Amino acid sequence: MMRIEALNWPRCPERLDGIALILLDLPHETPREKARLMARAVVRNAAARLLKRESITLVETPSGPRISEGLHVSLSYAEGKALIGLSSDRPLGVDIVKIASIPEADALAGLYLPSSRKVADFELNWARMEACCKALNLPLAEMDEAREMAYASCDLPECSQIEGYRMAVAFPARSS
Amino acid sequence: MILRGPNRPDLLQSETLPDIFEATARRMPDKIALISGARTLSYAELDAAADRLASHLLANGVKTGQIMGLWLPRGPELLTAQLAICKAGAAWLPFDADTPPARIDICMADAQSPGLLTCRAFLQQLEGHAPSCWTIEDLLESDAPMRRRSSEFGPDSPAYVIYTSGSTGNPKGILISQRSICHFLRSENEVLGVRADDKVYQGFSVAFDMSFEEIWIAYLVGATLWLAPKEITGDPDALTLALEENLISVLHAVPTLLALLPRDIPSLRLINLGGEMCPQSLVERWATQDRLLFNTYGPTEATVSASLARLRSGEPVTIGKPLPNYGLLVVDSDLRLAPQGETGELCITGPGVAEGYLGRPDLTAEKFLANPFAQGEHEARLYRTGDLAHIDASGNIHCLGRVDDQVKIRGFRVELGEIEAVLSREAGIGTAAVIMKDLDGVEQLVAYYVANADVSPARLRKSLSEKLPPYMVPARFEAMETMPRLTSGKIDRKALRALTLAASSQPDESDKPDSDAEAVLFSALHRLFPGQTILRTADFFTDLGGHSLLAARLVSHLREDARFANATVHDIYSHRTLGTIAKALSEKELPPEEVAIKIAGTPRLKRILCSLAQATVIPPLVCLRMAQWLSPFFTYHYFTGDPGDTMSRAIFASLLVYLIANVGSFFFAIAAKWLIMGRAVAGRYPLWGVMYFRWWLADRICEVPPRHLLSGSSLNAMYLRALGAKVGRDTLIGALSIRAPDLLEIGNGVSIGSSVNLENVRVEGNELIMGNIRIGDEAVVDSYAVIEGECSIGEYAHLGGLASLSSGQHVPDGERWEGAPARFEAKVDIQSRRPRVSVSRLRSAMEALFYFLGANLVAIVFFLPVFPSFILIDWLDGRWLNIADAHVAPLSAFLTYLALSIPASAVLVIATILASTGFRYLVLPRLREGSWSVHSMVYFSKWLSNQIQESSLFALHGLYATVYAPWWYRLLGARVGKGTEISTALGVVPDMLTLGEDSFVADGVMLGDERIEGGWMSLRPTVIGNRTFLGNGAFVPDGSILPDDLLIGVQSSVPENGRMKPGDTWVGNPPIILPAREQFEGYDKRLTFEPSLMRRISRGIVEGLRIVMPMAVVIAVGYLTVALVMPLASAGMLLDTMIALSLAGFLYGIGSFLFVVLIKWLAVGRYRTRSVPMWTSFVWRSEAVTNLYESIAVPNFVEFLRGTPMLPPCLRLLGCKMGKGVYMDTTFLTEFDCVSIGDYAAINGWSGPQTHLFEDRIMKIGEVSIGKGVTVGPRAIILYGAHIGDGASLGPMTLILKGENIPKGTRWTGSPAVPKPA
Repeated sequence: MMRIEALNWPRCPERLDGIALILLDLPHETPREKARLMARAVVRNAAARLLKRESITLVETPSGPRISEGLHVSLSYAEGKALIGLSSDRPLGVDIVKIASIPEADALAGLYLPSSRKVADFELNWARMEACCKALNLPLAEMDEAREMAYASCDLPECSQIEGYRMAVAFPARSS
Repeated sequence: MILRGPNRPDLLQSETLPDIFEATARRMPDKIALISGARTLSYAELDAAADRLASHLLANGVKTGQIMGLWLPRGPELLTAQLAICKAGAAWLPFDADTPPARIDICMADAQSPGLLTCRAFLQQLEGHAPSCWTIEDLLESDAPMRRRSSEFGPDSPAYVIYTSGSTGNPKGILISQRSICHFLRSENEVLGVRADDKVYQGFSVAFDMSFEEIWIAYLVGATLWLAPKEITGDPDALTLALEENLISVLHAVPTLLALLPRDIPSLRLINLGGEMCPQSLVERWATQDRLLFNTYGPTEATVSASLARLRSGEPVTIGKPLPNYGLLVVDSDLRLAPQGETGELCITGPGVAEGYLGRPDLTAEKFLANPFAQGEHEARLYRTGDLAHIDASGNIHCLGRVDDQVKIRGFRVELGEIEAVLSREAGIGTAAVIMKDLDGVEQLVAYYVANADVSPARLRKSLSEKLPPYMVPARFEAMETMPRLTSGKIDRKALRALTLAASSQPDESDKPDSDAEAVLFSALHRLFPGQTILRTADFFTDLGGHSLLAARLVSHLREDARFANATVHDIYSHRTLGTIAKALSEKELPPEEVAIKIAGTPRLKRILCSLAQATVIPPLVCLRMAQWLSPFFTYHYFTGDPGDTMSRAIFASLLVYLIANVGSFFFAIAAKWLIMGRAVAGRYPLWGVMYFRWWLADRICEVPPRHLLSGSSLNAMYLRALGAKVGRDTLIGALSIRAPDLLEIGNGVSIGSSVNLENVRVEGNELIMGNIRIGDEAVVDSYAVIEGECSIGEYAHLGGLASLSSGQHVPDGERWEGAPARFEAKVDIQSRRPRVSVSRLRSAMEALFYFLGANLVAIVFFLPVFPSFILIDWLDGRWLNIADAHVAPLSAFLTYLALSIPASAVLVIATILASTGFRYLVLPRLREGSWSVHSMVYFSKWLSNQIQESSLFALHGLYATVYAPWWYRLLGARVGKGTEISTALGVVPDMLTLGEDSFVADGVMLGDERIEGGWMSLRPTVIGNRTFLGNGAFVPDGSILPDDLLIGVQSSVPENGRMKPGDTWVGNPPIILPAREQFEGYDKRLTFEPSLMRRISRGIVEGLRIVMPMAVVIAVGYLTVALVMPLASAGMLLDTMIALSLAGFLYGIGSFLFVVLIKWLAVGRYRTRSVPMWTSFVWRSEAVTNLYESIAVPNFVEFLRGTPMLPPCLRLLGCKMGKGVYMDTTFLTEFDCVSIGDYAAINGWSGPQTHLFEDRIMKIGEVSIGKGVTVGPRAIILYGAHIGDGASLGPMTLILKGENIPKGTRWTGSPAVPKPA
C-alpha cells in the first residue's frame, strides 16, 4: 500500500480519490476551542474545492463534524497542529499526538493499547489506537477483548510522519 | 528591526577624560566641584590636586596606557586619585572599599596591573597579598616636579577596567577606551540634561560604572557633586534627610534604593534609575509634574548605558530608545533580526561597545560579534547582552530578564523576567522575583515579592491569570519583608531557592477535598495541571484544557490508589465536571479489604533446612577461595627457610602454583556447576527448596574463578559455553554477570559491553524464578544494562547503556531501545555498519592463545609484588625475631607479624602500582581516538591495559575513594584536575579521560568506556568539567563532554553533548533536566572544597592506613598459618595440611567479619540521619569502615552468605534492622543502622539501599525502610529517606528518589521510578 503524505495547508488536493490528509499549523498556545473553529474553516474550504461547490455546511454530531454529501471527515488536534483527514469512499479516523515524554506511558499502554502494541513508540501506538476509535465510532475506553478484536479489524495504512509528532489513519474493515 | 539613536557625529569628539575635566576647570575654575561634609573643592583646586598626584605617579614610573588599581575609601581623595590616574595617562581598575584582598589580587593579576593606588589605612589588609602598592600619603609626602602625561595618550588609550562577576564564578574584566566613555558622557547627557547649576548626589561606588553618570557627567557640565558619606548610603531615613538638607537636584540610583525613601523630596528635579528592573509603583510615586524620571539600561560591556526611557505616570516601564549614536536590535538564537514585537536577545552596537574581555578571547568571541547589519564604522561590532527583550509598536524596548532565566515548565519556554515584569506592575508591589522550585516533586513557579501595601496572593493570582497564560502564573505567591540581595544589589536567587515554603502548596482558591475520592482526584489533577486552580465546578475538558490523552493519564494516576483501581476514562468523559467525577468514583470505590496485602511467607523449617545445607558447604567454599592465595603463599615458604633453598626457585614454584590454582578454578567451577546443577530448566521454584539450594551453590562456585580476566576476550564465550550457554560465532562479551548460563542464548556477532547484568534468575516473594534470555544475531547490548529472565533482543537490535529490560520485554529486530525501563528510541541503521574483519580459524586459535597468555601475565603482574614484601618480612624475621622457629604464642606471633606486615604491605601496594603502571606503558604507549577492529593490535593492547585496570579494582581496592585515587588515574594516563574525588570509576580509558578540577565521581560510575559494535571498537575522548558531580552508578558514554558545575544524578545517564549547560542537573534514564537543585550552604568551605593542609595530611594518613591495613592483616594471617601448618607439611602429612589450611581460611573469614563489626562500632558507633562536610574525620572513619567491610569482610565471608538465611543475622550484628525470612542476594550496604527491612522481603542481586550521598561535598546520611514482603529487583537503588510499603515490588534498575514513599502493594520500575502496568 502507498504511504499517505500529509499536505501542509494551504496546500490541498484538487481531486479526491481515496484519502487526503491536511496539516494545519496552529499558533503557539491556540486554545482548543479556537483550534476547532480553525480546523472546521479549513474543512469547509477544502471540501468546497474538492466538491467544486461554493460553500459547504458542516453538521455537528457528538463524534465530530460531518459533511452532508460525498465526503467523510475526521479531525485531531495536538499542541501546535491540527490534522484533518478527508476520505471520498469510507469513514476514517485520524489522530495526531505531540511527542513528549509521558511518565505514565507504560501504565497507559497497559490500560489502553492492544497487547501487540504495548511498548515501543508510545505516541505512534496511541495515535493508532485513537484513530481506530474514531474510525469505528467508539469512545475511548480501557482495553478488553471486544476492543482488542475491533482494533485488530481496522485497516491502518502507513502515513508519513513529521518531526515532533506522530500521526495515524485508520479505516474500519471493508467487510463491515 | 534595528532601533538607532539619533545620528550625532558632533558628540564623537577626539578627546579624553582629562581633556573634558580640564576644559571645565578652565571654563569655571571657581565653581565648586566637590562637597564632602564641611570640605569643598573648586574645579581649580581639584585640578591642581590631581595634577600634583599625577606628577608623582609619573615620577614613579607610571606609563601611558597602564592599568592602575584604585582602592580607597569614598571621599575627595578617591576622586582626586581617579582624576590623577587619567591625568597621568593611565587607566584605573577600581575596587570597592569592601572588596576582599584576595579578589583584588585576582583582578590585578588578570589585568596585569603594575600597581595599586591605595592608602595606609588599607595597606595592612593587603598583607600576604601580592600587588605592589603606592599609598597616596607616601606619594604626596615626597617631592616631585610637575610632569604632564605623554603625548602618546589619546582617545584610543584605555580609560578604565571594570570586573563583573562571570556566571562561572571567575570575574571578567572589561576595558573601556577614552573615546567610548567620553562619547557616552556627551551622548547620555543629550537626553538627561544635567546642568552646571545642578547639585548631584554621589553615592555609587566607583567600582560600579553608573558612578560615571554621577561624577563625570557632573564634570562635563561643571555641576557640583555632593559626596555621600558611607553611613548614609544604606540608611533610607538618613539619606532622605541628607537629600533634603543639601538641596540635591539630581539623583542617580537603583530602583531598590529609591523605593526605600519614605517621602517625596521636592528638590530632586531629575532622577535617573538603572541597574535593575524598575517596578511600576515607583513611576507612579516619583514621576511627578515637575520632575524628570529616567530609566537607563546598559551593560558595562557597552559603556555604562545604551538606552534611556523617560518614565511617565500611567505608562508602562520600558528601557526606551537608544542613546544618540547607539543602536539596539533584537535577534533570535540564529542571530537573525527578530520582527517587531517578537522576543529575542537584545544586542547593542555603537561607539560604546568595548573591545572585549581582558585576556578572554573565547568569551569575547562569544559575546562580541562582527555586526552583520552594520551601516557605519561605529556599528562594526555588536555586543550580545544576554538579556531578553522585544520592541513594542511605539519603538520602545521592553527588557524581559536574562536569556539564562528561561525555564521550561510543562514544556513551555517561560521567561521568568517576563513574569517578574508583569508582577512588578501590580499595584502595591515593590520588588518581585520569580523562581522555579520543586514543590511536592513537581517543578513549579514561585513568586516572591515585597509589598508596600496590602496585597493578597489571591488578588495577584487573579490579576496575573488575566494577563498571562496559565502556565506562567506562579503556583505560590510569597510575601517577603525584604528581598535577599547580593552585595552587588542584585536579588539573591540562590537564597530564595533555599527558603523553605510553608506546607500548603495548594493554590488558595482550589477547593479543599471533601471525600476520599476528591482527595485522590484533586491530588492527581494537581500533578497533571501544576499551578492551576482545581475547582469542583470546573469541567475537565473546557476549563482545565483536558483531552483524551490527559484523561487517560488521569485514570492511570487514579488507579495508583487501589481503592480507585476501577476508574475508567468513561467516568471522566461522561461526567466531565470534577465534582461529579469524584461522586462517580466514590460510588464505585473498592472496599479497603480488597487492598490488603498478602505477604507470601516461607516455612521456618524450610529455611532452617536450607541454612543447614548451606552452612555445611560454606566452609569448603571459603577454603576454596582461600586456597587460591594461601597455596602460593605456602609454597613460597615451603621452598624457603631451609639451607640450600634458593629464592628464585621458591618464587618460580609459588607463581606456578598460583597460576595453576587460577586456571584450575575455572575447570573446577565448570565441573561443579554440571555436577550440582545439571542443566537448568526455566520455571518457578520454591524459595529455600532443593532446586534453590542447587542453584545457589552452583552460582556461588561460579563466582570463585577470576572471571574478570576473561572479559572482552574470545575466552569469555568459551567459558560461557562450557557453563551451558549457547554462544554464537564472532561474539565480543565484556564483563557480565549471568545467573543461569544454561538459559542464555547469544547469537552470532553479538557485542555485549562491560558490567552488564544478565539476571535471569531472581526471587519474587517466596519463589525463585528462572527465565531465558535470548540475544539475536548481531545485536548490541551496551555497558551497564540489566536484563531479566524471559526477555529477548532481536537481530541487529541495540539495547542502550544503563538500559533495563524487565521480564517479558522484547526488543524487536533492528530497533534501538534506551532507558530504564527500555523504550523504543530509533531504528538501527544497519547499512552504516562497517563490514567485520574476518579471521581464519588459525588466527582465532592464536588469538585465544594470546588471551590465555595475556590473562596469566596480568595475574602474575598483580601477584609478583607480593614477593618483595615476603622477602622483607622474612629478612626482618630471620634476622631479629625468629618467630617461625621459636615457639611463640599464636596471638603475639600474629601481632608481631601484623606489625611487620604494615611496612611490607606498603611495599606491596607501591610495587603493585609500579609494576602495573610499567606494564601498562610497555604494552600500550598511548591510545588515540578512532575506530579499530577487534582483531587489531590496538584492540589487543587496549585489552591488556584494560585488564590492568580491572584487576586493580581487586588488588588495589583500598586505593579507591581516597586522596590517592586521582594520582593513580594520572599515573595511568588520565588528566585529572586538582581537588577531584574519585570513588570507583568503571570502564575508564585513561588516555581518553579528562576530569576537571573539584569534580566528584561517586561509586560505580561507568566513565567513558569504549564502544564495541559489529566487530569494531571505537574510542572517543570524554571530558568532565570543573565541579561536576557524577552520582553513584551514573553512565557517561564515551565522547561525552560535560560542562562545569553539572550534576548527574544517581543511576542516571548523560544526555547528548549539545543539551547540557553549565550548572544543569540531569536525573534518570533517559535523563531529564531538573531546573533547580537542593543547595547546601552554610558549611565552611574549608570542610568541603578548600580543606586546610592539616586536614589534607590527616586524611592522607587515615586513608593510607586504610589502604595498607587490610593487606597487612591478610599477610599476617598468612604467616601465622604457615608457621602453624609448616610442621605438618614438612612431615609429609598432606591431608592434614589441607584440612589445617582450610580451617585456617575459614577462621580467617569469620575473624575478618568480626573484626569489621568491632571496628564499625568502635570507629563510628551507631549511624544516624545527619549531614557532614567531607573534610571531617567522621566521613573518613565512616569511609574506612565501608572500605574494610567491602575489602575484607565481604570477599572473605559475607559474600558467601548472599542468598542464605544466615546473612540477615550477620547484618544485624552490624546494626541493620532485619525482619524474619528476608532473602538478600546483595551485600551493598553502607550505613547499616539506617537500613530496616521487613519480614520476607526479597532483595535481589546488585541492588541496595543507598543510605548516603555526597552532593556539594556534603555527606548526607538518611534512613531507608523496606516493608514486609517487598521485592527489590536487580540493580535497584533506594535513596535515603525513602519508604517502600509492604508488598510493593520494584523492577530491575529502579531508582527510588530521596524521600519517596511507595504505597503498599504497588509495582514500580524505571529510573526514576514510575508505576508499572499490572
